[in-house]
Amino acid sequence: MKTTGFIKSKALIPWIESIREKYRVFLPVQDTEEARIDFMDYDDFLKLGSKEKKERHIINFSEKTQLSPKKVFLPLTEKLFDFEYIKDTKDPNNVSTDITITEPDKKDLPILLFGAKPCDIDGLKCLDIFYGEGQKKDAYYLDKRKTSILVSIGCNRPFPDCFCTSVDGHPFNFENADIGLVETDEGFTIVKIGEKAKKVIDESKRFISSNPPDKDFEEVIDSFVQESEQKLKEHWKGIEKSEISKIMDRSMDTGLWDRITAKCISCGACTYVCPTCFCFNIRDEQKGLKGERYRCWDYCMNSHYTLEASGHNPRNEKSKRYRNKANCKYNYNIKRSNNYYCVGCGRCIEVCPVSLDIREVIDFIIETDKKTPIE
Amino acid sequence: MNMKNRSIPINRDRDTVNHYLPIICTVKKIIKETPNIVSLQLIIDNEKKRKDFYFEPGQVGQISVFGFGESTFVINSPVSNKDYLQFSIMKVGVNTTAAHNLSEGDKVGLRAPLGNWFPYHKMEGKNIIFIGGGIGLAPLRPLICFILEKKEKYGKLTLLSAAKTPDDFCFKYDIRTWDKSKSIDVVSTIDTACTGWTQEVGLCPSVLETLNPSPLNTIAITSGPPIMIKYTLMILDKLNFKEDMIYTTLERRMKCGIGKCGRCNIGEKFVCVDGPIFSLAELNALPEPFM
Repeated sequence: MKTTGFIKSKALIPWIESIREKYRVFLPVQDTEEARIDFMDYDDFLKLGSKEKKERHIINFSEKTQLSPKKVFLPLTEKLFDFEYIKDTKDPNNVSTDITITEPDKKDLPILLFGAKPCDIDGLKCLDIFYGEGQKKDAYYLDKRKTSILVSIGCNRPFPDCFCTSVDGHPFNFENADIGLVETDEGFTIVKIGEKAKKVIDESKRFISSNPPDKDFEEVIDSFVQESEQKLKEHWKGIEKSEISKIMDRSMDTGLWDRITAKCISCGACTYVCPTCFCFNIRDEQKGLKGERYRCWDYCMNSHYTLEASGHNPRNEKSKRYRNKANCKYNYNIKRSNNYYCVGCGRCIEVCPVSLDIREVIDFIIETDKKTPIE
Repeated sequence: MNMKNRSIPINRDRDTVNHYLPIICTVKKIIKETPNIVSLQLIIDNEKKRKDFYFEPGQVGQISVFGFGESTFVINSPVSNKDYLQFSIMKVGVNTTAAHNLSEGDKVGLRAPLGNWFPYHKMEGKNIIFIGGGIGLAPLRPLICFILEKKEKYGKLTLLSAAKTPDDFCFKYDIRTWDKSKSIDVVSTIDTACTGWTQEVGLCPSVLETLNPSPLNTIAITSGPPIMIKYTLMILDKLNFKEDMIYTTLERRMKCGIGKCGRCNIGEKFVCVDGPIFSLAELNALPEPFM
């Protein structure tokens, strides 16, 4: 891997400080007492308040964040618009004479996401494709993404549940990132500068030095890549992308999915932490004549998700809901855009309270399919 | 670390069209169709938007009663009618109850047109049997009106209209006119016999079976509650209708209406953008059962 510059560890915070003038910077912050780690607005990080609170929060690039950085571009709740009824109070019928709709303020700094792992960046690419396809696109998501810059740090130390290499990913894949960094003992080596990030890098020249002379960085990085790759391959033997859609299509039998999901409690934790889950709900809140319409994350494991007002529910059983979820990731979106909507981050496996492992599910389906005679 | 002044906001281009913003409409007229169904006739407030509005038969719209939410209904006024847009709403849930509480002159939001429409060009030269149950007649209404305006292009037309009781028929005024005009054969049926009813009695699928329409060069279009569609499709199969000659509308819970919120999918298709109108051939090709 070619390197194009180096940022010393002690230059990192000053660099982020300088970027902050023109960007809203999000980066992984760990609460060392509660062991929580999550992407946080750098402004909020600085505003943490009491000294104790400040001290226990650290910027940490080596851990996996509990939620993916999806929430930076698709907030858990996001206002779509404000509305206000205008009514003639004297009218006995209480008829509204007009309604005004106001979009949220469009003036905002562009976002710079700092230190997301390649799998999470791939997750954002999935959302880019999904929200950007079709005749009608998602303005709220795309407008945030259009101006944003993604800074990715390669994954030196894959976690036990990670399996990105089995789903088209790689711990050092910077294809979808605007800036690619590799963390070494001394700092961060720049390995990719995309078109979108040229300006930021040009303005950051004073923080970027050449590689420390005593080390052959390219060799070091290559050894990282090999090590990570080796580890990840042991985590899941993987699947054949050209076959998986057909296998999933053949495996729609609800009996099969009943067996798979017997222990599932439909809690939806897997969808909550998933970097590619794109579903949301839209709701109104109103007080007096004013209100707002907002959207919030929704999850397909909830029986109310598809429940119609009439009482008709096309996916009333959890087996059908889980079947839809697994197919969404390993079938439907491969058909739509030839992408797995699973980036192998392993979060769903870590959080599942009943240890339902998507790798085992897919393996089980493939095994069952092999045993089933073709009609 | 000092908090730097960041008062120079960069204007974020919003050149992606925001499809979540409804346009404001006025409820011009409310028609009570049945004890629990009303039709709202809406007029778009903005003159330019009103003039530019264009839709095809079978397309749907999202009606907002602000503060309650948004629901999907088919635009059931004829496409040639430029005076208003009509939506028929059955009182079943929170949003529909709010819609029933509207008065003439009230304001609502509308996002329309959404979804696909009936492939009426493909239907030219063919006989068509329309099968509508209850409020399921609503998606068929704009298509029937459209086809009746160009009657010479189509073959024999039949409408099988089903409802629980004589009171539960939507668009009674249309059914009467169509019946009188002789340009479309109208068969009406109710679930159980009652005094004063002279037409068919029985559930839609069984009446269809008795009617025994020839599948030869004939297209069947069904619309209604899921349970009715399920059994009607079985009868059509029994009557040897080919799967590419059968069209059905599907209902699913929807939120965004533009294929982004996820919930209305059947396999890799979204009912809100790839539907709500599907041929049975398309539905049978989907991996996930649609019923």
